[in-house]
Amino acid sequence: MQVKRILVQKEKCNGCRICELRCSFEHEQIFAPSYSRIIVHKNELEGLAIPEMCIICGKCIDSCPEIAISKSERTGAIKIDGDKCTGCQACVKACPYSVMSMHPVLNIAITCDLCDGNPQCVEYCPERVLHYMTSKEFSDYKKKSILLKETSLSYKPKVVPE
Amino acid sequence: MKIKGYRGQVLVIDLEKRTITKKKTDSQWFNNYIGGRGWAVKYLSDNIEQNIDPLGAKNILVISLGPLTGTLAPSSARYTIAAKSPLTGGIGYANAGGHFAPELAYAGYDAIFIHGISENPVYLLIQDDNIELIEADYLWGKDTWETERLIKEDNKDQMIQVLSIGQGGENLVKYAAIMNNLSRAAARTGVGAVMGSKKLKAIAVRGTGSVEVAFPDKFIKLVDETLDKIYADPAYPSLSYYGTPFLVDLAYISGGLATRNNQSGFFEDYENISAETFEEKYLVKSESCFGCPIHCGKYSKIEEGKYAGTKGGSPEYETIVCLGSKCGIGNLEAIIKANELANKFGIDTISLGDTIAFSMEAYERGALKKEDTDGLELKWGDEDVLITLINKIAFREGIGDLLAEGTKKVAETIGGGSEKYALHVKGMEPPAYDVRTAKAFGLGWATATRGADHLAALPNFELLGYEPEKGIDWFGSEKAVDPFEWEGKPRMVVWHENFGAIVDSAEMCKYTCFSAYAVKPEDMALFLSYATGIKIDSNELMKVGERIYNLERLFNLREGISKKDDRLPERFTKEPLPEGPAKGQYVELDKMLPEYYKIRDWDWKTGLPKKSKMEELGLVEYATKYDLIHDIDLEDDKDAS
Repeated sequence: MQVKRILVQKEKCNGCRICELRCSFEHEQIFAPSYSRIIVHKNELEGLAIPEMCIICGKCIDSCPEIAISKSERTGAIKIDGDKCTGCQACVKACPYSVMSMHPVLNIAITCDLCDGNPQCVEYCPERVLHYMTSKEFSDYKKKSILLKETSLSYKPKVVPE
Repeated sequence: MKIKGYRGQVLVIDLEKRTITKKKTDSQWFNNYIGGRGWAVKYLSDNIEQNIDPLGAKNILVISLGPLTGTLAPSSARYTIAAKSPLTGGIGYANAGGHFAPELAYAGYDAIFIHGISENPVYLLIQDDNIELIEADYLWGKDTWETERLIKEDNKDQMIQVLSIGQGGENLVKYAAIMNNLSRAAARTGVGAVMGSKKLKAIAVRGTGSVEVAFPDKFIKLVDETLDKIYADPAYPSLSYYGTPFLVDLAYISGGLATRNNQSGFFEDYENISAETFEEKYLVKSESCFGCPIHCGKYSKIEEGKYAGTKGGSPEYETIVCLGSKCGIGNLEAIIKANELANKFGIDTISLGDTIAFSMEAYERGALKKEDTDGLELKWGDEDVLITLINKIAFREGIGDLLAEGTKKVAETIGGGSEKYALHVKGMEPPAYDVRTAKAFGLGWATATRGADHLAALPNFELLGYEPEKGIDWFGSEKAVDPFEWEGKPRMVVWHENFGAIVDSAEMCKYTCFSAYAVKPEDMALFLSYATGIKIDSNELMKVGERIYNLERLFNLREGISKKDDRLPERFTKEPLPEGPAKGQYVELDKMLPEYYKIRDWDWKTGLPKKSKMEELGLVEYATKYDLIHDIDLEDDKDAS
């Protein structure tokens, strides 16, 4: 069985960072991008906005000297045992995508936990940039939306609202 | 005690003494002025002396946030920049979105108050608790894009948010803007010139902290309900997909697409500047302000031709009209280029386009001659003239030095009957929409405290095709839903102005509040209550809005801006639209204004507020200090004699 993860259509991202806000709220009950497990990298001159989060490559698991990192059996997400984590940052250094970070207050490693199977960044994304799907579902989805764009006039809203 | 939602600290900067002082946020302000625009107006009213030079050392520049800044409350990433306006001489403020405001909130500050003038150019760098004034000689003379790039590079941090002035502000163009995120502009009333006069090139901020709300569960539930309302709004698909350019089409349909300095509401080249054209040829993607579900900002690019390589934030509706059809220009590429220049130079595209359009009419009518214009022929529709003039204005070269003063001053200087078609209210140039097709907007321009301003009231209610019953329900007249009618509009404008002051003080975007009406006063009261933990109801809230509006009015009154200035240019009141669907329409200002005064409790003869109203709003002390209260007994005596 294929596991679901967060997949990104970065060309659609408008850089609103609602995902960062929702993420920090979900995990910390505060609003703070520096606590977010998803980060939108931007280049405004070129019109680029690229959300990045854990893609579950597992390099952090191998790097952890405390064996504090594992994969969740239920969702496949990276799981960090806060009691075992010493804040040594080995995982932060090992992460190839710079999406493992340190909790600014607790000094333990944090990364995307897929909100235990209901990722809120995906729920709140206004542009449907983020998808919680298997790779097969994602490729089908993209095929379908290209088809829709090419064949359906309703893809584009009317200029003047009804 | 720190109130939730707020950060609890403000910064007071003295540029002359080079001092930086952190102070606790005055908690009294929350109840009486909320934040943002309310705080700014309160601080300026209390701390600016009467009749000072807006570009002198005694003016103060205020940057302030609201209690929702940095939260997930929809479209709440806005901030206010305020000062005494060099354009109007009255209260000046501008409001912008982007990503600056939340960053300042995460750094831990509610507001920045900037006093004095620096001897040499500096920029203010805020990195959480560390605050520095940094020499900025090397940035002076650079445009806003280059400034932002260099500051990020120098500090090796791409996450820094920068607001800055370009050459427009440096050269004291009276309608210079302050820019952030390349294309977001705090543009109106010349706040950029005030920043330039202070030799403050930029404010750069990086914040790694957080914003907390008092009742997280209730707050997020309210966010969800509000998002549902926004997404269900009939205008949402157009606004989020095309951005504000879709309003070009609406203006055209209504017959109010301002053309050639508002000589007409019908533009023959409309199709070339329409949303359809924009979308087909130039639109790349959306570019959103922080935390906004609407994402009306658009990124565009010109691939080929004369302006190939032009890219960045697209011109908004206001810009397309003011730099386009008002100047007779029907080439969207030229408008996109002109917009890019204005953003880089840091100049308000509304006042800029209007001043150029006015100079074109003056040229047509002979009040400006070729020898006045450095040999340029200021002909309608000439895009090269537009681009040349923008450059001249930014650097105050030749005719640009005069045009940089704004329409009112240009008319006073050149004379020749041009005052008649010099379009401004209280010295500020009007926005895009031709108010002869929307009467509440017309009244709103006349009464706005910062001059011809569509955002003070933004009475979209009259444009949304509501059923007549709703007009009766909200504003006591079925005609309130008809943009060509004037009945019900005074009440509509007062309500929108009062609530608008709240929206600007909570620092939420007016599109959320006045397009979908997704956030009404009762919803705003909940947002503020859940964020701060201090219970406030919608009636109290509207009273705060009224207080803010009246305080702005008092500021203007003490600076000599009074009832005589609550006017519209004759073009809108005496020249009916000559063609199109709104042919024959003009603004019945003389019918609406007395009723407006009555609702406001301002005396019709003197234009001064009545004592009872000042007492009710807690402004009596302030009004008395400057002798601005209408004394009814005295007035009655005069009548008797």
